[in-house]
Amino acid sequence: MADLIQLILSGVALGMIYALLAFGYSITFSTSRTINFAQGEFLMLGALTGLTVDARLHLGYVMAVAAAAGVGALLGVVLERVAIRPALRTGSTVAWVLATVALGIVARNAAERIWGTDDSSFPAPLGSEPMHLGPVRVLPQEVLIIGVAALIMIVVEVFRRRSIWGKAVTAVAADNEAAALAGINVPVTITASFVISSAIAAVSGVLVAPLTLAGPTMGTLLGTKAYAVAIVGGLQSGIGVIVGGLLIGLCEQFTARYISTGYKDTPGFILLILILLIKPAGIFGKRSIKKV
Amino acid sequence: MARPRIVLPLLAVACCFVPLLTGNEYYVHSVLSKVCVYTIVIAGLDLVVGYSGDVSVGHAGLFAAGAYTTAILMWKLHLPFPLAALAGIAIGALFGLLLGVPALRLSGPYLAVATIAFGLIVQTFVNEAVSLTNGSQGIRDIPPLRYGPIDFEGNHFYYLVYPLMVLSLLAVHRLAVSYWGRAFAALKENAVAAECSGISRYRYKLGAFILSAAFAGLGGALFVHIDKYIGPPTFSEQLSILFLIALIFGGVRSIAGNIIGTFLVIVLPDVFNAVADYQLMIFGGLLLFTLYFVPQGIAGVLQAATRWMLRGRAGLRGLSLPHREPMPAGDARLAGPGDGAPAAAGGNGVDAIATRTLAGLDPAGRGAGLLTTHDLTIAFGGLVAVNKLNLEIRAGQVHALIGPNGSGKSTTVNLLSGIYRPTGGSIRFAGRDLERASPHLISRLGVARTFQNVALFGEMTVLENVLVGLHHTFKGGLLPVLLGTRRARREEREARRRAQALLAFVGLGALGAERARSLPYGKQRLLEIARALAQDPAVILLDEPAAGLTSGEIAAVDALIDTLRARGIGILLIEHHMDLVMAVSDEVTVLDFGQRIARGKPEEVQRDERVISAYLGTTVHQGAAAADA
Repeated sequence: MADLIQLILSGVALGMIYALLAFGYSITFSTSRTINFAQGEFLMLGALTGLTVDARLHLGYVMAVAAAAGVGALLGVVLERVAIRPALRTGSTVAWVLATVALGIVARNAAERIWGTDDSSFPAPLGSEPMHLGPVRVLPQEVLIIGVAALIMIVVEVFRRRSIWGKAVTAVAADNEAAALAGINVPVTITASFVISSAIAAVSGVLVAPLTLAGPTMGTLLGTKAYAVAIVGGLQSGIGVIVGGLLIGLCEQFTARYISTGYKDTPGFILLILILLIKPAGIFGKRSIKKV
Repeated sequence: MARPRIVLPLLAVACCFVPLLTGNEYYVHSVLSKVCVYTIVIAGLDLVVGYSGDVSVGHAGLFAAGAYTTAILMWKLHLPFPLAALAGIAIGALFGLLLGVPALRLSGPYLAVATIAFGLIVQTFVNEAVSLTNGSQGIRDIPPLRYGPIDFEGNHFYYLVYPLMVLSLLAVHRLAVSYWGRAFAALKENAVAAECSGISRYRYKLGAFILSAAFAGLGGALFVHIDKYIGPPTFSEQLSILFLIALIFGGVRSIAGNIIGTFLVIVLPDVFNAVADYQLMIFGGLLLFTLYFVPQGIAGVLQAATRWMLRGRAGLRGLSLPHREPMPAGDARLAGPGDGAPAAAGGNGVDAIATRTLAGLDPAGRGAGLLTTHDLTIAFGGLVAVNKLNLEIRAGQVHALIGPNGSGKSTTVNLLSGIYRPTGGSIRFAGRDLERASPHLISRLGVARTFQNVALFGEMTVLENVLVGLHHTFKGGLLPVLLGTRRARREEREARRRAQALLAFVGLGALGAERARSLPYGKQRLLEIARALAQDPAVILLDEPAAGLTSGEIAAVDALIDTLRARGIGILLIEHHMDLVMAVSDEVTVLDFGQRIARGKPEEVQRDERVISAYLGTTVHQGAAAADA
C-alpha cells in the first residue's frame, strides 16, 4: 500500500511537470495557433541556468528559479520574433514547426558548448533525504514540484481570467482580427504569451532537475511527452492539461513498475493516438462548428 | 519550350554513368547512393507536405517499417531482396494508412504532434521487440545483393538505387500533374469546396499518406544495404526532421528541389566537419535562414534565376517568350467578346453541360421532383436554424429560397450539400436518402453547389478550377496515371477540352490561364458556376450568385440561369436581388427564423402579408434583430 502511494506521488510529480509544459503550449496555442517545439530545450536551458546560479554562484535556489524565469522570458521573445512571427506571415504549418525545431537544435548545441555534454546533478533545495509520512517515504522535491506547479498555474489562470491583459489574451484567442479592431495590440499579446510560456518551461527545468539530472538532452523527451499531454487534455483547456499530465504521469509510473521500463514512454503516445481518434479536441476540449 | 523534354531524360541517363568517373567508395557509395535512397523518401514526403499541405514529423517511422521488414525477411527467412523490398513497401504503406488516419481529422499542431507520437511509438517498438528486431543490437547479418553475375554491392549499389530514384521521381511527377495532384491541391486549399466538387477527402488524404509511405518503405528497403546494418537510433525523430529539412531546403513540389535538398543534408555535415561541435547550430541557422529568406527553397531560387536569365536574353534578342506568368486582371484582353455577357444565350459551349439521365426519372420530365426535403431540421445547441422545412426542387425549374439575413437559407444549402448533418427530417434525391451522405457523394450523385462566400481554389488557374469540378470524369485509377498510359492522357485531354468549353459557356473563355484569385469578384462567381456545372449536376444550388455583382453581370447570371433551366437542370436559387428572383423563379419559398412562412409563385409571395412583415418588420418581429447570414 505504501508502495502504491509512493508510486502515485511520483506519478503526480512527473505529471505536474508535463502539465506545466503543456500549460505553456496551451497559452501560446490560444493566441497564435502554434506550439513551440523547442519548449523542451527551453526547460533544459532553464535547468542549466539555474544550476549555474545555484551550484556555481551559490546564490540559492530561489535566485536560480528567478534567473531561469528571466532567461526563459528572453528566449520567449527571441523565439516569437525569429521563428513564429515570420512563419505566421506565410501561413504554413511546416514553417513554424521547422522554425521552432531549428531553434531547439540551436539551443541544444549552444548548451553543449556552454555547459558541456555531460549530465550533472542538481542539488535539491529541500534535501534529497526522503520524508517519512507513516510508512510512506516521500521525496521533498516531489512535494515542492506539485506545490509550485499548482501555484504557477493558478496564478496564470487567475491573471488570464481577472486582469484586463488576460482578457486581451482571451480576445486574441477567440478572433485576432476582431481583437485588433477593438484596439488590442495583437503582436504584443502573442509575444507576451510566448514570454510567459517559455518562462514557465524554464522554471519547470529548475523544478525537475533535482529529480533527474541537468544536461543538454534532458528536455527533449520531456518536451515531447508534454505535446501528448497538451493534446490529450485539450490544447484549449487549463484543467485539461493538468488532468492530462497526471493521467500520463501515472500511466508511465505504473507501466514502468508493472510492465517494463522499456515501454515506459509509450502509454502517453498511445493515449494520445486514442484521443485523437475518439475526441480530437481532447478530453476537455470543445468542438467548434466551422462556418462555410 | 520543347528543350527540357529532351534535356532532362538525357541528363537522367547520363547520370547513370557517374560511378565510371570515379572509383572512390566515399563519393559513389556513401554520398551518391545515399542521396538516391533519401531522395526517394523526400519525394514521397513531398506528396504529403508539398502537395497535400499536411505536416508529418513521423516519416522516420515509415522508413523504419520498410527497412526492418526488408532486413528481417532477408536475414531470418532468407528471402531474395526484390520480395523483401516489396514486403517493405507494403508494410510501409500499411503504416502510412495508420499515420494518415489522424490527418483526416486533424491539422496544424495536432497533426504535427500525432505524427511525432507515431514515430516515437515505432522507434520504441523496434527497440523493445527484441525477438523480432534484435532490439538495441540492431540487425547486422544482412545477405549481400549478389545474384549470379548481377552484383549490387559496394559502388554497384548505385546502379540499383539510381534507376529506382528516377522512377520514383517520375511517378511523383506524373501523380502531381494528374487529377490526383489537382485533388491534393484542391483539398489543401479549400477542403470543403473540394469535397463539394466531388473529391473524396478520405480517398485522397489517405492516398497521399499511403503513397508517401510506400516511397518511404522503398527508401527503407534500400537503406538496409547502404551500411548493411540497421539499428533503432537511426530511426529517431531527428531523422524525420532531417527529411523535412531536406525537403524545405530544396524546395517543395520540385524534382530538382528534392534532389538538391537531399544532397545538401547528406553532404553538409561532412563539409562542416571541421566545426563539428557547432554543426547543429549551423544547421539550425541555415534552416531558419531558408524559412525566412527563401521559403521556396533552392529550387525556387534557381527557377527564378533561370526565368530571369531567359527573359534577359530574350529581351536582348528582341524575342518575346511565351508568357507563363498569369496576366494581371483587368488586362485589355479580358474585355474581349464574352466579357460580362456569357455565351449562354448564343449556345456557345452549352454542349459542354452533360445532362444526366437519372435512374427512375424521365430526363425530359420537366417539373418532376428531383430533390425533396421533408421536415428538414437542424439545431445548433438550442438554436433551431432550419425548422421542419419542406422543399421540392424540380427538373427544369428554378426554386428560389429567400428570407431575411439569418433565416437559414445558407444553412439549408449546407444541409443539402452534406456539410451539415440534419438533426431531423429527410432529404431525398433520385430515390436515395441524402441525410447522411458525404459532400463528395452528393456531388457525384448530381447535386452541385456554389458558395455564398466565394470558395475557389485561388492558387490554381481558372481552367484548373473547372478541372477540379470535372474530377468525376477521370475513371482510370492510380496505375494508369503512374504509368502515363494513353487512356490517362486521353482523359486529361478530354477534360481540358470540356473545361475550356465550360469556361466559354460562362463567358470566361479567354481567362483559362489566369490565377483564380486574380479574377475580379463577379468573374469569380461565374467561375464557381462553371465548376459546379462541370459536375454534370441534375440539381444545382446557387447560394447568392448575384451578390456583389454589377447590374450588367446580374443580367448575365439571369441569362445563365435561363439556359440551365432550359437544359432541364433543377435550380435552387438563394438571392437577395428581388428583381432577379422575381424574373427567373418558377416557385419561391420564404424563410424566416428557419421556418417556412410562405410558398408559391413569385407574384403570390410578393403580396403575402407575412413576407412583407418579415422583410420590412412590423410589430410581430420587433426587436428580433436579424443576425448575419
